[in-house]
Amino acid sequence: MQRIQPWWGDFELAEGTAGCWAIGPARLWIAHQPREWRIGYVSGDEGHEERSEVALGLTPEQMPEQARLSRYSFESPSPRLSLLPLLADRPVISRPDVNLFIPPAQSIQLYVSTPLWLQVRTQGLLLQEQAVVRPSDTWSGPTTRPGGLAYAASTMARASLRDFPYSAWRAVTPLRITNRANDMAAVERLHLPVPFLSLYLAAEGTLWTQAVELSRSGDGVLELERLGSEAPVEAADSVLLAEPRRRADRGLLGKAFGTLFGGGGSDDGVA
Amino acid sequence: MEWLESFDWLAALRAGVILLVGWALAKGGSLAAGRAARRYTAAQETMLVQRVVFYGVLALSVVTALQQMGFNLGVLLGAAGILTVAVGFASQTSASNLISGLFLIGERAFVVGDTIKVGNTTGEVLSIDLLSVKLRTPDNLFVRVPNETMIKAEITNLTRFPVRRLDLLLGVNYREDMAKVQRVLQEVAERNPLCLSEPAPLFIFTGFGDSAMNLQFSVWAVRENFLELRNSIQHEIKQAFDANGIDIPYPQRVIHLAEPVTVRPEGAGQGSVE
Repeated sequence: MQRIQPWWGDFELAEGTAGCWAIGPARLWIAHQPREWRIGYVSGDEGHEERSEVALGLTPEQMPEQARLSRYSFESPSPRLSLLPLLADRPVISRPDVNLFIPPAQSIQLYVSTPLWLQVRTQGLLLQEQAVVRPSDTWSGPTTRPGGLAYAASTMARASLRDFPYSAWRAVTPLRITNRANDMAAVERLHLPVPFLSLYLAAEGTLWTQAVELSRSGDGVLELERLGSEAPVEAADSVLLAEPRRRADRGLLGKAFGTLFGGGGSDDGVA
Repeated sequence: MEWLESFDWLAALRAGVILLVGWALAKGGSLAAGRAARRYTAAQETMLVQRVVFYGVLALSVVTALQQMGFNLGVLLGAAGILTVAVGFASQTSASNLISGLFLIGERAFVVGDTIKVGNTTGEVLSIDLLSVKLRTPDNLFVRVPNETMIKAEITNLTRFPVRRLDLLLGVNYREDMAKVQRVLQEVAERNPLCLSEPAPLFIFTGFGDSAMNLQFSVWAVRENFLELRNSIQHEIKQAFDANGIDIPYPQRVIHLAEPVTVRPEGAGQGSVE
């Protein structure tokens, strides 16, 4: 059974009709008016994590008045449009659900949920891109001078997938951290540079990024051991939904993931 | 007529050509120097380099042109020296501004595009010139602040660091549970996406006021979102206080009377209230 129904993909809206995409607490309305597309966005209250419903064939008049509206004029708009999910445009900071310490020579597995963005495209053009649910801003540096902007994840990182709160607007990153130092490693917060990760769809409908493996060396520095080139093993029979927003060589990736325990550098997570 | 005959027209022509070429060279040189300097310096330093090159080359060409026309530069410089003393006394303020301008540019306390506060004026820096700094205030007024004033004044640069703190000073009724007030405020901050999760919002119980328990709630925002947060969070705090029955009191006075006073409603003959 599909845990989450896909809200992304290609859709067709004839002129004079509208569609509503209910994704988690948010609702996206798209109306095809004569010579224009109208895109309205309604942010809702929390809850409805797994909600993912698509209703087509509605009328433009049904769009709620409080929707934040944008209009895009075309000479002759095509009735086809596509919705694409993608990962956040800045690093995401999350915290473990309980205080977490990694003793020397031990390794832990964590699952981090990060919020998704959506793109509305038509005729090869990007009309709009925005967070499905706007996460809170946060600062990644240890003080207010060094560091960069990031988003705060609204959920905690978890150590197991049992009762995991899968969501229609969040992707899960499996994270393995090995402590090769002689002292205890405290994991207070996780600064995950998601713009470097890809997005995958598992067969059961859940959304994933590739797995990340890091190790903490003797001097306390985090090093990127492995960044998966395909979907994680937890996401069986998966397909690639979105490429990474940013590509980087191994040195830059190492730097970006090296700030995992906080103290992250600039807005893209690279020190 | 004699003067006309003795005038060296050829030399004058040569001087004219030198001036023209000098002006063109000065213009070209300042543009090239500006382009080269832009890579390494801030906007106002680039502007300074351009001006120095322009006026330097122009001055050289004027001197050469004068020499071509047979002027004795020694005498001219002597006269200029006396003139300088006279002009120097007359233009003390300008000279002071000029020197202050050089220090301002060297110090780099702010650059073109920053928003600064000088005295009671807040504005975006349009240019840092040799005599003055030009600002554009938020209500779109042009303000010229002399460099001498800038050097002496306390300047606050509002855009130097990427995040800013907003301090909200609140007072709540003495009946309220402070722990509940703190929880409600924290929830408001968590719900507002413009309010940074880290640095975490700061809650300080500042003291017991005349009519209210005073507290400070400080939240952080990216400087571009500062004004938006300032508006939205105060609105949300008011809504959350109303929803949770938390009272922001008006100034109150409790009067204890030494002797009971009889208050009689107007028009009422009997039934006094004590």
